[in-house]
Amino acid sequence: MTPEELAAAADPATLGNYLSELPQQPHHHGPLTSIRQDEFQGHRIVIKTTYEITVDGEPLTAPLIVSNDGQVHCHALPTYEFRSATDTIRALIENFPDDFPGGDHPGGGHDSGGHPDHQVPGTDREGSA
Amino acid sequence: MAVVRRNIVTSPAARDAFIEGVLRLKREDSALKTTAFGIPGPAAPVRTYDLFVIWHFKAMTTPVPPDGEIGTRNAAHRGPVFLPWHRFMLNLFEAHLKRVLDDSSFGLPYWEWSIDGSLPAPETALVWKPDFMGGQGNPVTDGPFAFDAGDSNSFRVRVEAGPNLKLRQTNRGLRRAFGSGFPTLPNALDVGAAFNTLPAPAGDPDLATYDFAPWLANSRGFRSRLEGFTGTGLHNQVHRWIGGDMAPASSPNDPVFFLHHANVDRLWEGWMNRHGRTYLPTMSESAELLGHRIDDPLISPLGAGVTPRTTLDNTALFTYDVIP
Repeated sequence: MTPEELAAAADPATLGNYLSELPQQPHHHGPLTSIRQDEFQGHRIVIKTTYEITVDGEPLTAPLIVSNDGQVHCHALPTYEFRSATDTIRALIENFPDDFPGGDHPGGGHDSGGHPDHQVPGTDREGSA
Repeated sequence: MAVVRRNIVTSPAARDAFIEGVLRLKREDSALKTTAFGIPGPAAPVRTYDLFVIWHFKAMTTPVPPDGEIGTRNAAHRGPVFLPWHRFMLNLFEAHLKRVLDDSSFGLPYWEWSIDGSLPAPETALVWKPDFMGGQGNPVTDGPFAFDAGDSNSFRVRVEAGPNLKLRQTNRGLRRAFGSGFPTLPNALDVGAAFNTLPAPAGDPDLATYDFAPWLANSRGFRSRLEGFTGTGLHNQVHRWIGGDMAPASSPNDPVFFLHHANVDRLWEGWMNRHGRTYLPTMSESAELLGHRIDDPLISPLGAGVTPRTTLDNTALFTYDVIP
């Protein structure tokens, strides 16, 4: 790759047209099912986990999955992994204030500092964004 | 000629050019509408800057393998391609900045966050001052990306990922919430540990190898350490400490994203200086890893011309003022 090749590609149409031609996301309806698979002593293990979540009575279709080590991951917050689904939803409420109006923290309260409920270094691992 | 990427704190010229370039890309109409990307709502113009938000989101929501889970491995994260994909993203972003600045000598600056991570109060660091990136808030109200509801030209987030991981339109100011997702930034000791290949318990010899099967987020090796799934958090911890718009899949909404990833890239360059411009997996691995093997095309507008291999030696494009 040369500077000239990059410069030639650096126009909005090149990136924009490319992105517009990528497949659109499939539309999910209802809760997602997370599937864990493992082999143990010659046995095939399959565990399907489905979360049906409501917040203030409203359904939340956040994509939660569980890894084989039991941690919960939600790619809406790709830098987080959680010890529980409850911790996951708490973090979603904190990070998406517009989606959870009302409550005790109207407007999201993003002016304050840390939220220690789910900050245990070494157990609450990070993900990638 | 290769440009030099410099520390934003010690290079006011690079800082000012970066800010000006970002603001120009934020104003530039890409000529495409939101409907072209499947974003619900009325067709709205998409700025060139926001194409990078969409690109990151699209890569992050492309599972590898295609029938897999994006939260297990995707086309830009949680696997070996994490560093090559982001390097190319930075390269193209830098090329766009050169274009709008009309300055072929412009080099993308980096933010050396481990220095600030060693401070007792990282939120007081220079990079968050008004003449740098501005501070925290919902919305951010100081610095070059401050929100002014009455000024349609002030910095606005227009495309975001919601809790259901769908792209949507918005029109609001930038958000940051320091310490909201993790109490500290990584510090110099954390970075040093990622380069320590001494035998355990002092170090980890696996860090001399780029990555290991099964090529998952927390596989052994340097990539997962730098991405932040093993050891201390490094890259991921920075996203979480900044919080706000740096937390979701639309994290390039915060211009600090690019300064952060330039530093991640600089650390990768430092690793390659020590261990060679090597990459794994090779093409002998299963096609289930399509997109992560050394000669697989990245999710990029240059198609087959950009693979992990083509990103390993980019010294014809850029160097860093200091390589760790």
